[in-house]
Amino acid sequence: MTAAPQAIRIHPADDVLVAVRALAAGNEITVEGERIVLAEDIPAGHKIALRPLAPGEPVVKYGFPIGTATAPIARGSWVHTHNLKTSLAGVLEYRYEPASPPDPLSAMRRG
Amino acid sequence: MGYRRPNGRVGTRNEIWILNTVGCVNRAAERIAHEGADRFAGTIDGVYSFSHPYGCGQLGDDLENTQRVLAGLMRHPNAGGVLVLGLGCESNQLDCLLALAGDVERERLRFFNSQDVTDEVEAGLSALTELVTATEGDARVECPASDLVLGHKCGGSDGLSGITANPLVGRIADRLTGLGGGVILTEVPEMFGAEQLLMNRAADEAVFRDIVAMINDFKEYFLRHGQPVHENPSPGNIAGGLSTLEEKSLGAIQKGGQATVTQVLRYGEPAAPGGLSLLESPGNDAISSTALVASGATLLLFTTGRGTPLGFPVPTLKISSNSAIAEKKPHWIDLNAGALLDGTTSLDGLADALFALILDVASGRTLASNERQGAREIAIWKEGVTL
Repeated sequence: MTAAPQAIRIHPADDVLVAVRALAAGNEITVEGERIVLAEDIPAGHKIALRPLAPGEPVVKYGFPIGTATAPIARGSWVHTHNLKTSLAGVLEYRYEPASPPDPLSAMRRG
Repeated sequence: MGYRRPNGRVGTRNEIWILNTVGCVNRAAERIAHEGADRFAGTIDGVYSFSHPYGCGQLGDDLENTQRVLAGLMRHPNAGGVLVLGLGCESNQLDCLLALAGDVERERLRFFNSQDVTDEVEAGLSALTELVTATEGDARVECPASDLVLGHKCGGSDGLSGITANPLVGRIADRLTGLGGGVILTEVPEMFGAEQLLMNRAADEAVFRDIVAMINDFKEYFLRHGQPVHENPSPGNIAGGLSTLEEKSLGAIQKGGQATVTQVLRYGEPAAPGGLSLLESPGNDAISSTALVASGATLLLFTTGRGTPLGFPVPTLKISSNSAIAEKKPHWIDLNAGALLDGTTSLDGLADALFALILDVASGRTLASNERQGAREIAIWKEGVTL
């Protein structure tokens, strides 16, 4: 039986982990053999940066962009509304691309 | 085991539903339902009324939306009998609504305007007596799971919803549509940011164009009202870890699994059997859940992170994204997908358990928590002027 994970990376391309429970600053968690020290407290269900992100950079979760960084984000720090904003604008044009994309959850990783 | 109706659709319950054309007779409908429930206890599965504030002071498309939702409820296979209560002077005239509802079995339908009778509650109870006589002999028969129409919805989502409860419900979408059953997905604003994923799963280019129209029409609705399209996550969503609408949407669409999208429905439009349908509706919990029922859903899978006591006219199975809310509010939750985070159960294993629960509840062997709590309500989308 596997131990309960502390955080999950949903897709291999993701920039963030999701904390499964509240995690304290200074805790070290392991994701796919890689160790990350938490720079701050992370509430349950919230995101942890896997790598440094610069302002204006897209942030990827589920293998897709979920917004843009608005401040420098250090590895192991809390990613939320204080340093991440939406990239959604108005009405878009779409192209028919029927090839199905990879299933974001088939590559679910546990930390 | 379900109630197969003459038109082939299968109900998960055999109830009498009292629907009113206009909010003015909400209280009369409630009294008829309350007294009827007592009088006819032990015969059919129950007598229920569904209050709403609309049906008058409305124009054009807005009035038609109200009528289409009420018509969808009138035709619903969970309603073995229907009493439609009017007032007499309202915009939503009773005969118009009846014409719109079309093929409702006449022996299972009664209607009158309150202004035409001396005592509307007594008249309602007489009508109920006739409906119960017509309905109480109905019996469940064995039906394949493909006769189910599930409505999938999320409310009070948190950062775990897209990892636990929504993918779990997505497995059910894949399984049921694979068997030929129907699943309906809605909450269009909570597709913004993830819509290309759904578009890529359109059955053909015509469905693709319908999805594009649904998405863009909804964005235009926001813009017409001078509102941005991205101000979506609620205070609870944000406290639960969702930072942007794109993030919420990418988690939300997990409820559709990987199934091919076979049809796109306008608000109030009935779903054709089988496949994954996308239904035009806002994300508001009561409006979207009611829309799913009006389009034919006979059971709802409702995922939640923050928790909610809500329930709707059909059994509403609430699935928690995390164990904390399942432990704190057990009377609100039917199945805890937070168990996926303990390392003790797999997604497929829990999907087996959920599928078994769906069949139990659909067959009447178990009640959903909303039924035990008496939580059954409707809400109608209003986007037009009020006179």
